[in-house]
Amino acid sequence: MRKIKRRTFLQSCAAGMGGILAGGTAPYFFTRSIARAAEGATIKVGILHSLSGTIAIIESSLHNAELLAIEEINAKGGVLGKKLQPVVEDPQSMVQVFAEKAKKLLLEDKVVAVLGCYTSASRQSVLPVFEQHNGVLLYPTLYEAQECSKNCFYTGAVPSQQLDDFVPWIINTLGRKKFYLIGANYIYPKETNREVKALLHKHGGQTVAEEYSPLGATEFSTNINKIASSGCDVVFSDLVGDQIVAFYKQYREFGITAKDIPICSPITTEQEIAAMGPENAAGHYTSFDYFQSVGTPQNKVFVDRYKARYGKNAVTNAVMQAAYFSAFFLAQAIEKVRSTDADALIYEGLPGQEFLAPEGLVKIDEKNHHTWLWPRIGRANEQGQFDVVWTRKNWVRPQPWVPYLYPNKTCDFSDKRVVERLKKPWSQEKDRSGTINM
Amino acid sequence: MSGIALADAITKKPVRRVRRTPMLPRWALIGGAGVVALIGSYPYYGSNGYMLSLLGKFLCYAVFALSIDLIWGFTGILSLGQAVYFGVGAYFVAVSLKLNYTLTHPTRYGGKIPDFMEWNGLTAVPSFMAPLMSLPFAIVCALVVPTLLALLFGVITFKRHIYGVYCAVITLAESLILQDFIIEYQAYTGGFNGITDYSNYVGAAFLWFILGVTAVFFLTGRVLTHSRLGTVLKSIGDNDVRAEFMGYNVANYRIFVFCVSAFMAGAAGAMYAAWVGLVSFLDTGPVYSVEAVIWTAVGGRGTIIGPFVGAFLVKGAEFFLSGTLAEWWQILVGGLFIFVVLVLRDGIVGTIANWVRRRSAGSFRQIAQEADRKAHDRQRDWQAEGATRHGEEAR
Repeated sequence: MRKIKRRTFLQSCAAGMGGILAGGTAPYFFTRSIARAAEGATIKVGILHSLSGTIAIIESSLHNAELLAIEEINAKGGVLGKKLQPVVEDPQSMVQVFAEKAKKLLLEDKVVAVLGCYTSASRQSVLPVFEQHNGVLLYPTLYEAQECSKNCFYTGAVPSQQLDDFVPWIINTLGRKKFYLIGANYIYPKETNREVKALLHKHGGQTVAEEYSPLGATEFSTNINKIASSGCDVVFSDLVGDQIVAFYKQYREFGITAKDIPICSPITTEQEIAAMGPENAAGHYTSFDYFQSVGTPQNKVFVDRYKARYGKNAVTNAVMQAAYFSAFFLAQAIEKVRSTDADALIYEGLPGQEFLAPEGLVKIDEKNHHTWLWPRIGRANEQGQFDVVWTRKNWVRPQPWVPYLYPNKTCDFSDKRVVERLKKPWSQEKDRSGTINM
Repeated sequence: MSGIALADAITKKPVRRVRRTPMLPRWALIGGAGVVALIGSYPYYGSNGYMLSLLGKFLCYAVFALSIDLIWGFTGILSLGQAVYFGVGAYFVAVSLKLNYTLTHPTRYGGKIPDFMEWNGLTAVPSFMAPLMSLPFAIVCALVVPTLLALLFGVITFKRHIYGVYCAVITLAESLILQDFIIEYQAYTGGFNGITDYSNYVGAAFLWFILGVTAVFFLTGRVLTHSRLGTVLKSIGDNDVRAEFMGYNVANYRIFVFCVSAFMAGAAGAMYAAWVGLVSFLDTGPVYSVEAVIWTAVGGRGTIIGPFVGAFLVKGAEFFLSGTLAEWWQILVGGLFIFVVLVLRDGIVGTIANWVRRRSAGSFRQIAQEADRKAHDRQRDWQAEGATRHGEEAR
């Protein structure tokens, strides 16, 4: 009996496993052959956001926003009479896989452009791939700037758009001058704080301390002790991800209220507030170009559609909004040049493209591939949303190189010297940046 | 036993018919040449740059898995931190290529030093890193430093009779430490972002180079394990106490094979960095190490071809499935691993080999039972003292 049992067990296991594998690979070949047959009838757009791993929570929300935008574009008839077909890849929160998948999207799927990446690390890992194979990347995250790649369009805010008004506002309106800077120990916080310090210097503020905690560290009691005894009157935080949740919680548990020492941040979104519980964030400030509570008619439609598609409790945030409107930028650009050629999109299609986004009218700068946005300041309320306490009257031009830190540098893709350099093939000239020294 | 019988037994050497398998059986020679030809000629029949880049990567993975197979499959040392050696090799080459690249391609701030140094406030390449400007020196470092690290590790642990689960835990800690070190000293290592954007070697010529090195390593592996030394290693893997009793210096054998394996891992890392053009702290981490252990287990530990098959199969499945089945592929790979551990104890290659060997004399059931028994024996190291092996009486 045992013999038969064992054998049948083995056989069924093998069969089951084979079945699972076959079932797994079948859709791959199936979709591939469908894709081949349908080639020409659709325009492929790559979606490159982690659906598994440590940053999957925030990245899958960007993935969702982009899919929503593509659905809306297709519902309106698509682009050039063709439907946009999203090609989804999961880079698993690992930079190597980001680079690998980017290569796959460009070389094997031959997508017209990729909407993707969230962290600076992932963007930096895929940029060489995009530059080498001349692809188009639309990158939605606020980031540290000081970069401009020919093949990348940056639809998130640069520090100057978030800080140039925020820091003086904290000093003048809140009347708080002594800043305690705390951030995660990597490129984004370091670069952002460099600008904060320059602005403090310019507007008569003062840096009490500057601290960096290891990425992923979620124990802040020593830091909070130091904050309490430092004599600062505002904390400027560029902690990221789970750190934000831990820091705000421990801050409140320690007993410091937002009235005593408010936390001001250029990166804390509705997403993190939902994770930490609204009571922990209430009263603290964030500077962004978009909040879910922004009162434009477009935003109401966006939030409603998003909730209808992904559930009542889904929240939107600035990065998602940028991911959402970058898909429209792309569709309009293809429509404009009537082509899916990368160079046509890069030189003519995308620069200067305007779109009435949830935050207001946004535009890709003609010269530097970054985006004109509407700076706002929000104070977190008890419902986990932001009350917009200040909105700029006009949109703000993106400046990847801020003049008060880098007076000799600028980014201009229409400049002759840059065009000259970019005309050469990649194998001869690997510098694909639009940065020039004046 | 009477004295006479004993004397008889001693003087009359038993006639032992030892049929050693040849070093390179014909089928392996032909098959190996076929695989080499198939991969090596890809640039001629394939036009897909993505596939080309995958092939080079997979070869590096295969060498890495082989390095684990040598210590785990043959000698029974489970390392959960083998990626340390891979990562050290990769970082040496990547840093060197990056330093050279920035000389001709000024980074975002226009300096002639890597951007990660710039945004951490360095203005010049620190003097202790300057020698890495020379690529040959960096390559030597990528091979020698992992080997020396392994030597150090071996002397600390094996000489002090730290084996089995404790050894695995120490290797795990080692890899976590290196990872933290890389993230913390970001001015020199690129930190969380890793090292990217340097001129890497792409194209057919470098693929052939990787292929050649891979072939040499696999042949070395075969020669090493098929020799007397290999027999000793296997006996250590089977029962280290007996091996010790027979007069072998188990610690030295372990140290030796650990160093060889670290050398291979370092070389794999160096080729990987040069081919892929991107290294990060994840390449030195425990997750990556465990992944490679899985490839080895799936392919067949204790066989030379196993790591190659495992790396290509698991990584291949991952790259093809993760696109279409974004949410499911990890479960599939996990399922495959559980299946192999439960049913195909010797991995795919090991099971096929057992089956071929025993086809005339045994059924599939017997082979599975044998594998079970072997696995049970191997687990002795993990159990409390006093557990017995098959055929061994309880003490």
